[in-house]
Amino acid sequence: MIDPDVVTLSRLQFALTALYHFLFVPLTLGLCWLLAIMEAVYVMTGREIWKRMTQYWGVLFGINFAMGVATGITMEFQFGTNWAYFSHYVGDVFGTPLAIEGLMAFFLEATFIGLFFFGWERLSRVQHLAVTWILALGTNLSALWILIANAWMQNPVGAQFDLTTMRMEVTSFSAVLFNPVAQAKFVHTVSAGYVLGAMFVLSISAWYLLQGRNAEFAKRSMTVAASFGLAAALSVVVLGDQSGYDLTDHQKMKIASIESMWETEPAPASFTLFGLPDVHDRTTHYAIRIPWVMGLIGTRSLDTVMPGINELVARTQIRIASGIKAYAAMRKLRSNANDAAARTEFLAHKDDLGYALLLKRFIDDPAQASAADIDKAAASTIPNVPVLFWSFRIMVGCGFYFIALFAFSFWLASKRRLDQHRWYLKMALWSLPLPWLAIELGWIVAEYGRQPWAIEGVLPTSLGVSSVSSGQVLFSIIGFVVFYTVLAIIDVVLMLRYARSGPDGLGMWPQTAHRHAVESGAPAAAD
Amino acid sequence: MPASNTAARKFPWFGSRAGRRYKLELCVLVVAKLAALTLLYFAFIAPQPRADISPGAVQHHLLDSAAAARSGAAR
Repeated sequence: MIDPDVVTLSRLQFALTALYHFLFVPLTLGLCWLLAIMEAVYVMTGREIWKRMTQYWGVLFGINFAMGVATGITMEFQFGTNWAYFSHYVGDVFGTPLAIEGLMAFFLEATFIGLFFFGWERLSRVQHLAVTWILALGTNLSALWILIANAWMQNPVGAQFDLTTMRMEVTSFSAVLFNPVAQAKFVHTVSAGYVLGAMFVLSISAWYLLQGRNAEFAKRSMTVAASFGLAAALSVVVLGDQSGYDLTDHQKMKIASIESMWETEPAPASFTLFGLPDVHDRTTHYAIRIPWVMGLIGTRSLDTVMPGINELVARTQIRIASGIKAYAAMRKLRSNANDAAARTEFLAHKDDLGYALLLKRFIDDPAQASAADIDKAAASTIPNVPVLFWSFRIMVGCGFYFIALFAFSFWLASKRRLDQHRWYLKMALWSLPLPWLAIELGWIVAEYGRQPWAIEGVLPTSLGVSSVSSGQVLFSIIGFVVFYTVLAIIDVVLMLRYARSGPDGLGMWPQTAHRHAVESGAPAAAD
Repeated sequence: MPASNTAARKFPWFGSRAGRRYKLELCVLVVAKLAALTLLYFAFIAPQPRADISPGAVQHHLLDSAAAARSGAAR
C-alpha cells in the first residue's frame, strides 16, 4: 500500500510553498492596477504628485515583486520530485497552460517591470503609462493560466483517460480553457488580490496620517484605494458567490462540508451561521441556521435539493462499486488489448475508475475489495469539515468587513475627512493583515476541500505521489523552509524600511521639489 | 506649470542616489535568489531518484500490488 508519511509530507510541502507564494502574488495583482490608475491620473492632469505617488507605491510594488518572483518555482520542482505520477497523469493537460503562464510571467511581466523602473527618464508620459498598463494586464493574465490548470483539478473537463499511455489526454482544449470553474476562480482570485492591493495602500497611508506626515500624498492614495477597494470588495463577494454556485454542480462534497450539512435537507436548504461540527458523530452542535439561504445561494432555486454529506457518501459507495468493474476490465485490457468484453465493461464504467483507485489507500488490490473496504474508502471522501466550515466563515466575514471599511473610507474621502478620525485611521492600519488572512483561508477552502482528490473524481492524492522515501521529502522540506524563512525576513525588513521612510524620507515628495524651489527662489507646492 | 513640478521633474527619483540604490538592491536580491534557488535545486532536488513514469511503471503503480509497484518504480 501507499506510504501515508510520504503523502502527508508531500502535501505539507506543497501547501507550505503554495501558501507562501500566495502571500506575494495577490499583492502584485492588486497593486499594479493602483499604479496604473495613479499614473493615468498623472498623465491626464499633469500634476507631479500623482507621478510621485505612482513611483512611491511602485517602489513597494517592486520589493514585493522581487521577493515573490520565482518563489513558485519550487512548486514546479515538487511536480518532478514528489508528484511524479500526478505530473505524468495530468501532463498532457497541464503542459500548455503552465507553459503559457511561464511565458507571461517571465517574458511579459519581467520585461515590462524593467521598463516600469528604468523607463521613467527614457519614455514619454504616454509610453510609460502604456508600460504600466501592460504590466498590470500581463500580471493578471499569467494568473489566468495557472488558475485554468488549477480549475481543471477541481473540474476535469476536456480530457479522457487513455489506456495506452495510462494518463489523462486532452480531447478538447477549448473545454479546458473555458472551464466554468476556471472563469469563476480567476475573477474571484484576482479581485481578492485587488482588495489586498487597496488595503495595502489604505493602511500605509493611514499610518502616515496618524504620524502627521505626507498628508496630501496619503489622502490622495487613500481616495484611490477606497474607490478601487470598494469596487473590488463588492466584486469579490459577488464572484465568490458564483464560485460557490459552481461547487454545487461540480464539488458537492466540498460545499456540503463547508456547510457542515450532514443530512440532506428539504429544498431550499438552510445556511448554518454558527455551529460546532462533530466529525465523529456526524452532526453539528449548537447550530444557528437561517432558513432557505443556502439553497438560494447554492442552487438559485427554491426546489433544487442539495445533498448532505451522508447521502454523498452513500452515492460514492455506488460509484466505487462501479469503478471496481472498470478497474478489473482495465487490468484485462492491459494484458489483452483485443478483449472485447473487457473493453465494453471498461467503457461502461470508466467514469468511475477514479473511485476504485480510492481503495488503494486501504488495500493493495481494489478488485478484491470487501464491503467494509468500500465503506472506508467512501468515508475517506469527507474532507476535514471543521477546518472548511471555519475557514469559509472567517473568509466571508472578512469579505463583508472589507466592504464596510472601504465604503466608509469612500464616504470619508468624498467628504474630504479622511484625516479627521484617529480611530478610523488606526482601524485602517490594523486591517492590513486581514486580506492576506482571507486569501490564504480561501486557498485552504479550495484545495483542502478537494481532498482526498488530486483531480476531482479522477485521481486520489495518495496515488499522485512519487516513489520517494519520507526522509527525502523531509530533507527537501527543511531546505525550502530555511530558504523561505530567509526570504521572509528580507522581505519584511525591506518593506518596513521603505514604508517607514515614506515619500518624504526617500526624498520623493516634497523634499526634492521643495529643495529645488528653495534653490531657485520659487514657492514650493504645499505637501 | 508650477515651479515645483518643473523642479521635481529635474530630480527624477529613480535616477537619484536613493533610487539607484533601490534598483541595485532589487537586482542583487533577484540574482541572489536565483542563485539560492539553483543551490536548492542541486542540494535537495537533483539527488532524488527519478521516478519511472513509463506506461508499464504506471500500470504497476495503479494496477499491481504494492510490492510490484515498488519494484516497478525502482527500475
